[in-house]
Amino acid sequence: MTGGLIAVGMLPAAARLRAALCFGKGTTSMRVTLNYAACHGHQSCAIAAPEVFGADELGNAVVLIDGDLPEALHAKARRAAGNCPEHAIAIEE
Amino acid sequence: MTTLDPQPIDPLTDYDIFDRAFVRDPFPVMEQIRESECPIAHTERWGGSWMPTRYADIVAIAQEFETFTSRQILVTGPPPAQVFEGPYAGVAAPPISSDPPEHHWHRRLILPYFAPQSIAKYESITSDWCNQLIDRFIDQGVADSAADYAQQIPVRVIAHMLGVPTDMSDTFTGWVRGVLEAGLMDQEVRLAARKNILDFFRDQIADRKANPRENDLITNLLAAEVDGEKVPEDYVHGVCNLMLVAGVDTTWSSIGASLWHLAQHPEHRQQLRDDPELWPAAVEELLRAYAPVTMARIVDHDIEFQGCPMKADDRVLMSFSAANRDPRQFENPDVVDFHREHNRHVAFGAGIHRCAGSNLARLELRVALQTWLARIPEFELADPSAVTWAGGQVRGTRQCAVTF
Ligand code: HEM
Ligand code: SF4
Repeated sequence: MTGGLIAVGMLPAAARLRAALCFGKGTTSMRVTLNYAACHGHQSCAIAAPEVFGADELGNAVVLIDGDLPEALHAKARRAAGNCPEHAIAIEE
Repeated sequence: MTTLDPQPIDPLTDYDIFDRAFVRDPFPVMEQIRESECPIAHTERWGGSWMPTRYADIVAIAQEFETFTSRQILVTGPPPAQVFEGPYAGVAAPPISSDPPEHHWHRRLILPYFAPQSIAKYESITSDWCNQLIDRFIDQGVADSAADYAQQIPVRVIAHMLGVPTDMSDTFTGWVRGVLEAGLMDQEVRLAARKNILDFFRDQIADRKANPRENDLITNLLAAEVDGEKVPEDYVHGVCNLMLVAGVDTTWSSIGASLWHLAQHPEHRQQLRDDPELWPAAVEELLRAYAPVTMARIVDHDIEFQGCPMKADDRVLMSFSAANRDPRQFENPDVVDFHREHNRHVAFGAGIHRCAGSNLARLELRVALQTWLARIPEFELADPSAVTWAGGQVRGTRQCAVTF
């Protein structure tokens, strides 16, 4: 199942939507990925979505939630991605 | 020699970062440059520089560290080769003055001291200091929000963090202003201030070597190793230098400008009272709108950047406040909006030199404003025309009387 979801994440958007529908998940699933190399520790993500992002011992970001985010956090996660000056956060919906 | 320069200056070819009107309100000039055919202005003044004004260009320059180097990061001054002559020639300001590959370890060693979980412990002492400062003037109904409050806070926090006497705060402030304010227009002033700072930290380092302390930043850095070798003492000396210079004027300017804003916007004070959860976003928005810092880069090799013929050793200014007011990146950029959904502001820079102290700066800004608003919920500018600003490298209020 997990393998299936990762593969879904790598498909182009249209295919992903179709795949998501096939899995019966509708459009409510969301996960975040962090490009650690691009992250320079602004922490804007943790300010916008402290439930989703934290900091490692250098102050760079870590994703606190593995896998699908609860729906209640979707708006905050989107905001986090939109606040990162380094464009280091990707959202897959 | 008696003429007063009657010509209005053309900002596109002759901007003056110390022009009084520009320091007071740089945004109309930045907008004029940004919306012109050539959004990267040039001047011969103050040693010459280029000034990009669009978000995308400024971020690109910050990211391209191989072309735009940190050999010199002050906005005026002598060419890079002359910078570290004189006493303490080997002492720079790592990591801000470092380029890769050294920059990596220069930054890596200090980052753990600034991670969110490491700086949380400074919150209560910061709020204690804020309260003590307010105690001094709250009964008078009037105070200088810049000189009597904003200016007093970050210098104490940094002194505390470095384990040096917090009651020397006025002396430290004078030195820092010598480097970042008066010294930008007068190299002798800058070098004298630099010497004072480095003399002071030379003695502090000698003291830590003789009497190592527990949980002490200077002691720990002196013991730090990279690839099995102790780090050079010049590195530790330089880090102390930078922490004082980078941590004081910047944060104080940001607190000062934010209070200047709040004094004029009762509706924003009300929003913060009604919804305390707004605080983190409000701090980010105030940082965006009043980003205090402009950094410089030195061009490594001749290059054409966005149509501008830049030569090796040219200076390029990165005005993060110009970037943060670019309408291509921010809707209604001149409006302060605590509910702004997307705020990729670059008040702390971008890329590998992104401010190491940003979590501490945010904490200080939030605590200083929260403490002020809790005790002085209603206040206004005593006389808007009497407010003074410093500019150039760091822009913020220097005298800003408010009544309450
Ligand atoms: C509101 C307050 C502050 C602002 C706006 C600010 C802004 C900046 C900016 C724009 C840079 C990037 C420099 C560059 O690109 O060349 C920077 C770097 C730096 N800042 Fe801050 N700063 C603030 C407070 C602080 C504080 C409190 C400290 C703590 C000591 C600090 C320490 C540093 C350090 C160490 C660097 C160098 C990082 C590197 O080069 O890797 N700053 N700051
Ligand atoms: S906002 Fe972006 S760069 Fe900053 S810590 Fe988060 S992911 Fe990293």
